[in-house]
Amino acid sequence: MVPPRTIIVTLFLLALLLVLFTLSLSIGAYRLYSPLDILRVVVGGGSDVDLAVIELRLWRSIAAISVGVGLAVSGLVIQRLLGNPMADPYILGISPGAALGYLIAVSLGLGLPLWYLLSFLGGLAAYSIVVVLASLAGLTSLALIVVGVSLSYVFSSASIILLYLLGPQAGFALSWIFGSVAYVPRSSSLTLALVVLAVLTVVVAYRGALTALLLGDETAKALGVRVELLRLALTATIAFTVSVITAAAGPVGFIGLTAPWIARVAYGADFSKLLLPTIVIGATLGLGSDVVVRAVGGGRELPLTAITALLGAPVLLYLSIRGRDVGRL
Amino acid sequence: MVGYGDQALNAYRLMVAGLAVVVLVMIVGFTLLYSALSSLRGEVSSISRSLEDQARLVGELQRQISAQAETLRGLEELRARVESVERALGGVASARDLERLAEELGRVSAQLRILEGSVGAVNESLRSSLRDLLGRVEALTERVNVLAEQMLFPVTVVDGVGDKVVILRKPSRIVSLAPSVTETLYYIGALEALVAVDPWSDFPQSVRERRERGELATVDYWSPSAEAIAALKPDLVIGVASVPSHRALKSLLSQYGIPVLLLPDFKLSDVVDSLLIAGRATGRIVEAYEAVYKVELAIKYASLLASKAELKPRIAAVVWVKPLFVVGGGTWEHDMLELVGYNVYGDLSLWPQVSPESMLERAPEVIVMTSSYGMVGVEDLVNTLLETLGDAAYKIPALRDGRIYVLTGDYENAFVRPSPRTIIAIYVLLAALHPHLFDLSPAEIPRALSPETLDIIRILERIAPDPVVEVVRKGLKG
Repeated sequence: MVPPRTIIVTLFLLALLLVLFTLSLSIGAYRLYSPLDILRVVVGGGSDVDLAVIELRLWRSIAAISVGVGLAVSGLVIQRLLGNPMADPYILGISPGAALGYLIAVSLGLGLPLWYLLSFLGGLAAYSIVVVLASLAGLTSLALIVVGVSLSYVFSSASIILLYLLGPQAGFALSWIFGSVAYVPRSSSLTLALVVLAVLTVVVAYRGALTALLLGDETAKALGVRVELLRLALTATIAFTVSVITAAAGPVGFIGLTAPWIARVAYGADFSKLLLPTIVIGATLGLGSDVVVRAVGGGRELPLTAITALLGAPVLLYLSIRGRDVGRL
Repeated sequence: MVGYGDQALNAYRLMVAGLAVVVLVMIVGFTLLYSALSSLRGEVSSISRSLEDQARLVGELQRQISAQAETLRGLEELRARVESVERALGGVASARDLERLAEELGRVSAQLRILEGSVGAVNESLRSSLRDLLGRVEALTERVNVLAEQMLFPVTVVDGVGDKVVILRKPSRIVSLAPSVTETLYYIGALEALVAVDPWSDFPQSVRERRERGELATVDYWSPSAEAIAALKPDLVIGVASVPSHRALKSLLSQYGIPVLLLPDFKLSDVVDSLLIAGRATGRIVEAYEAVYKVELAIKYASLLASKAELKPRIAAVVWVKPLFVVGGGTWEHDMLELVGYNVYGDLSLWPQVSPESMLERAPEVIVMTSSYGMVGVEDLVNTLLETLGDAAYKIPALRDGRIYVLTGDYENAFVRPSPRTIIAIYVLLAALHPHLFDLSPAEIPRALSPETLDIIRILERIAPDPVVEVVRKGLKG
């Protein structure tokens, strides 16, 4: 029996997502359209709305939702895999690795397409190094965390050195590191959406094993879960997803950490019950942050990470303090 | 009655024959007359043509004579001014007097050099008296600078952030922390005293060569090390107001007794102020005033040219393609854009990050972009806009009309560095946006603008006054 509170929260979240989606089509630098005009376009009525502009906002919204969902689900899986509530998908070194790849491309003076290829490869390479080093220590969750965090700092240091070598251009290059979906090409939005759908399928397929992990490695092994293999396969899937997201939109912070948490505080710790809320909350955080970015910039384009924490943290704090039951994973 | 009839017929025939003869005679006569007349007319017209030629020659001569007279008058006036400077030099009592004298001398020197260019090789006596005057000005400059060394120092200079910087002696070991500083020093002839530059100082050629030979040390641009600078034992460090670490150096290096001077770098007029501040600090005030005179003349001439254009195009200047960064208000680049057109992002300050969608709203007619040292080209920007905006991208007039220009090489440096070389970028933009002002056809303007693709010196030589060409040439052939 689903408690009525859960139903209300779910309905509220879905309604919020719908409102945000309408807003995301009506708000933008070109012109503000009234949400009613947008609805009229959707039902097929004629209006003076420029469809080409709505289309470009739609693609941007798809990117924002994909980034939000992808990071949220990755965060949920990572927290579960590592048994650590403070883990986020970037703990595997992907974000600093991608930033380093990007900065290498920029400082070598390589052309624009290579910036994105190198940031993607940088993320994957960082993850590979982390996993190889962690497997020397038995691929336990602690090993992954320690190696991931240490190497993240190493990659960040290298990035800072490169930034200084960039001279007067450094400020422009640096802004990429705060993430944005304003510059995601349409084809990449599509790729993002497909990759996120694929990873969802994988996670749904493994939901049983992931729930078993909650009982600890030994118990899970006793239940027939091949823990090391699971860890390797799922971290690789997550690394690929997050690398794609980071290459397209830059490292977007906080969603991967917050969305699973909010879901857990609101819905409890059962993995299979958590997956859907995490997806919805991730989409809401991603799209909501981008709507705020579009609304408050005043002609400027703010980075996404500037807003995600600002939106996510208060919700998380409120729920934690009110619920008082955050302690259990 | 037949006989009578025959007679009548004969008389008729005679009349017809007579008439025919008369007509024939008239035709022949007319033809003769006409040919005579037309040959006459040809003669007349050739005479009048030669008369016109002569008149034109006379006019030309008169113009030359009056120009020479004007030159002569100008020369006499300048001679009087040189003499008054010579007289006044004896009675200089204060640093303020000296600076006023230096300003006058700088102007006279610049004007003499302008005259020198316009006289040409024709009038030998004029040239020799010009050379004589120039020699006297050079000697005077030398004396003023020697006096400045004695009188000006210790000098207190108000720098670009409003601080009073005290410099005890004429600096002989200068550290430059930015390319715009190095270039400013080049325009006042103070490069000799350099002991270190930042890694991006690549102009003029001599600086690059001295660095390669190891005669010039290199200090960082973003985070110059106070210790490394102190080890060079400089007597003056010059940075720019916009870089935070250059400000931080002030208090750090004052512990070593090394003055740090920050040149202003926010507006186009700061280029001129920087010349004067650097001139005062290095004791080269005459040279500074001479450079200021020429730079101001070049800016004024550019505004004059721009005012002849009927339309001021709406411009967006892209300085980084992904994420998109553009030139906003409160920058020297903005002032340059406003000089040749209208900056559509002028209401945002400094270099704002903007969305591709904002390009639809701002609707620039021309996009000027920098290549980030050859990293990106026009097609990268177009692709970025098309990939994110789709068909809506063609709402941007600049994209629809293909009016996107990319500045590379020295033209990019001239655009992004606030030194007197910005003059080059102003004229390149003017030529690209208003080719008709330079008797160019739009087809002659390439998309990638660099000294290799668009010879701005040759274009300016055709129409611009010599001092303008000279400032531009000095900024390209260092």
